[in-house]
Amino acid sequence: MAKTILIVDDSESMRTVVKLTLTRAGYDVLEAGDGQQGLAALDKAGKVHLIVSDVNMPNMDGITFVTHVKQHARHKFTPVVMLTTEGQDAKKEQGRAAGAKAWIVKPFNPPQLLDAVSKLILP
Amino acid sequence: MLDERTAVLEHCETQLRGLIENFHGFVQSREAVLQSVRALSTQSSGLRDMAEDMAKLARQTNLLSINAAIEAARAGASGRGFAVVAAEVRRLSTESGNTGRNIGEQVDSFSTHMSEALSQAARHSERDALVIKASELTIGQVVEQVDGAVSQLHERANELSRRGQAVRAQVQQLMVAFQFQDRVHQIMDQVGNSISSAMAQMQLSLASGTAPDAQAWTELLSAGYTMDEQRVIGGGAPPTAAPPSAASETTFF
Repeated sequence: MAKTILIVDDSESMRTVVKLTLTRAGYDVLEAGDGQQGLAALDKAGKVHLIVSDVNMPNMDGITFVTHVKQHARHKFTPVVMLTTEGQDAKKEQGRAAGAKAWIVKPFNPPQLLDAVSKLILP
Repeated sequence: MLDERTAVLEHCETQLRGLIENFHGFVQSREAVLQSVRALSTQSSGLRDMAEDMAKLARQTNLLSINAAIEAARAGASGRGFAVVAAEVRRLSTESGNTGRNIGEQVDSFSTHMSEALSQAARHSERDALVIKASELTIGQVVEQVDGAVSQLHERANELSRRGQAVRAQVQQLMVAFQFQDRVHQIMDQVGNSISSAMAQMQLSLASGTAPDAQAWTELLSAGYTMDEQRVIGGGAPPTAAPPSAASETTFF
């Protein structure tokens, strides 16, 4: 059975690129446009094996979103990969402190994202 | 792939050549049987000689019995008993002659059949040799044709694989290029917001009659930066600091 990955990004074009990359590799994909929508999607979803999240988003940014995920009753152990244009070490440190497992600066190569996903995804 | 193909073809060829070897084996076995039959045929001519000798001996015995009968007649009454023996010898020699003739005829008939069988077998051997030669030729041609076809398939598969890799690389480049749209969108948003802030600052400055504070101005603009190249360019670096053209490294925590 295919594993499920939640994509959280306010850019529809980015969600499309990430979704294409993941579905071509055999994953099922859920989408959300910001952190709030991401949390709502997690509440409704069954098992989510991994989350790919942007950082700079309206309503709720990626760092706040990860902080909430790590307190979520069912999804606190779900690994989160941050996929963002932010390349500053200070931001990366915020992501790490919030509980993210990896940080990829856009633009990414499809094999690069798939490598991170395969290393982190829950069994 | 090439080695594997060669090995399979060699295996096929070996198996087909093995079949031909089996045919050769059958032909050789039959040749051995025929050799024995030829030897028998040779021996049958010896039998014919023996039958002729027997007939010759019967004739001589017959002649001898006739002479004995004549001598018995000359001897008169005293040779009467001897005449009975001579008659019996003559009868036996006639029977022996008949038996010898029968044996000779049987041997002749046997030899005729044997010769026919041998010539038929010789014709079969020639035909078998031709069939085996043709089979070997066909096997060689088939193996060569299959090898040629497999080579072409191999070449086409390689070509398809090369094209597939090229297409995959192009798709990946497109996926990376597509992401710059998102980066440009973010930069444009930030530029738009900065212009709005600048307009507000300018209006405040105009109203108060004071020039805008350069430091506050820079901080205001840089607050919306999300990318390294924005910070580099916004910080006064020359605009040649190009955005990354390829993907970055992944940082694992």
